[in-house]
Amino acid sequence: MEMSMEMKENSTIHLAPVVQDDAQRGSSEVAMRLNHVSVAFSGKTVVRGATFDVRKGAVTAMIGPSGSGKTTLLRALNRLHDLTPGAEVKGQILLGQDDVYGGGIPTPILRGRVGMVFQRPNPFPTMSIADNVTSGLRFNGVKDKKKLEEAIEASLWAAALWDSVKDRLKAPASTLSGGEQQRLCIARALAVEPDVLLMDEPTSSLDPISTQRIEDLMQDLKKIVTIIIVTHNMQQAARVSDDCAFLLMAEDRAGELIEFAPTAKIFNDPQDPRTLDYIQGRFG
Amino acid sequence: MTTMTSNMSVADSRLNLQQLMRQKYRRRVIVGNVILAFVLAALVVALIPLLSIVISVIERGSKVLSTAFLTQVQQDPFIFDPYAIGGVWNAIVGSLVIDGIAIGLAIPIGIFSGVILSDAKGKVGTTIHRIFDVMIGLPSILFGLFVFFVLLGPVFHDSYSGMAGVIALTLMSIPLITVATESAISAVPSTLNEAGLALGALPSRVMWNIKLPAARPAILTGVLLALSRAVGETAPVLFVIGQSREANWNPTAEQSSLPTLTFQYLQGFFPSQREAAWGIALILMIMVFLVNLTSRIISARSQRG
Repeated sequence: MEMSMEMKENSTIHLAPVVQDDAQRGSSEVAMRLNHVSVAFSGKTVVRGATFDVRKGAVTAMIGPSGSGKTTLLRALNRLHDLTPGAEVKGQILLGQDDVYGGGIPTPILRGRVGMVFQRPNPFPTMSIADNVTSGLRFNGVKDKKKLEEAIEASLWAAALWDSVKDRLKAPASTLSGGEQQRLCIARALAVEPDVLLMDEPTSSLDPISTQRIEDLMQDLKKIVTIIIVTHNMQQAARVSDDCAFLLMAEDRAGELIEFAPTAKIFNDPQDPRTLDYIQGRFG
Repeated sequence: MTTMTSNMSVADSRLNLQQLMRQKYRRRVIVGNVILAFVLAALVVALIPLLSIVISVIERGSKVLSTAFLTQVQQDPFIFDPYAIGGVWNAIVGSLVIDGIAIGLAIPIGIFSGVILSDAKGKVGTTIHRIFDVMIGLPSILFGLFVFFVLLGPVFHDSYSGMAGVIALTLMSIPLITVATESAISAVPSTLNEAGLALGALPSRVMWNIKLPAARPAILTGVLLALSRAVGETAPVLFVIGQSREANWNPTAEQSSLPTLTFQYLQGFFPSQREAAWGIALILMIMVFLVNLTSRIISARSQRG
């Protein structure tokens, strides 16, 4: 046992990112609870039996190779699968005390509390930078000009975009660079003051510098919002996350949760051999 | 030694292929040129008649076009004054009134049905979509026929009315605008829809504040295409609006329109009437050109913004 542990350590040292063991990151309060969550499209299961707690104020990463169902699972959390005919979510998802699929909370209200940032920056092309930020508030009936203006500054500030756009708030969002557009989308999601922010591979279409900016940003953001991020980039998961869910495609091509643990544990001492294989880069 | 021979044979076969390709080269060039010649010939065949229409309309129309032609109402030449043609102001007014009201009615109806249709999934949606597609292809005289036989008696008490023409043109334009709207909305990236819903917006909000604004240039293009078609249509209005010789801003009265006056003049006895038809053709061409130009400017501008 001792021996194999040591071998693991040695072999992981240059392949997998080294993560400081800091289990105290994030609180122990639960923001979202997943209980045997499965998603099926037209009867075909795509992800199955995901059970884990998302700690409040922590960054939870979902990692795994292509087809492991991480994005599918993420999109179940704000009911985006409702848009897909034939999609079915089973199991239980709790947002605080509210059952997401139990009918206790109207879907638009749920989505106001669980914001989302997508793979590619998708600012509203016909709106200005400022209007993009306030769009969520306006869509939800907030008309008070003063409140909207406060939200513009606060959200752009939180998304580390205020300084570069404060002089051109009326400019179309399409005039921003890709990285800036993605931070605008983060600002837009933050403006409605969500409890949880879902990020679906938010840096996959960005250059390394923009990527690093957003990763740095996440460390500040988790003070105000719980973050769940899907990433195919293990290094990114190691850098930004506190907890980590590893998913893998099973024999029947459905994604399964293999292991959920604090990120340090996943990367330094995974319990499942398949997790070890993945973080060592043997597949995926 | 064996390696040598196998290398040699590989080199030989490579040489053969190269030779083969060189032999085929001339043939490939010839075939390519022949095809190019056919394509160019097709282009010329298509262009010559179209250009000659445009040129003869401009050439013969501009002889007739004058301030008087544009501002006076129609006169009937007679045997002692075969050149008393007057102008086409009555038809210009009629066209403006009928086409304006028709497109004004067709825009909201067409856009709203396009909005609904873009959300309608499943069999019902597809079926309705097919019906609209078929309606676009219907010969326009069918709309005139319908209004003439079905509506003119009960609604208009068997008298000619500009509104009867309005109805025919509105019915003809609705499917054009509906289908343009539906495809413009469907072309809006689904990621924008998701972004809106993920902010907690209701689907109707996303449609109104995100999808419709993003689809606006394409919808506008569709509307202007419908307009330029309505402006030029003769058949739907020919039998139902009458032949007003006076400039008449009242849409419920008997009306005249540029295409129907062209039709009337082509059947005319006097050469001056047939010449006037060229003048009207030039006016119609300029109107349609302006509508097209506007749609181009609008879509170019909104693409930049």
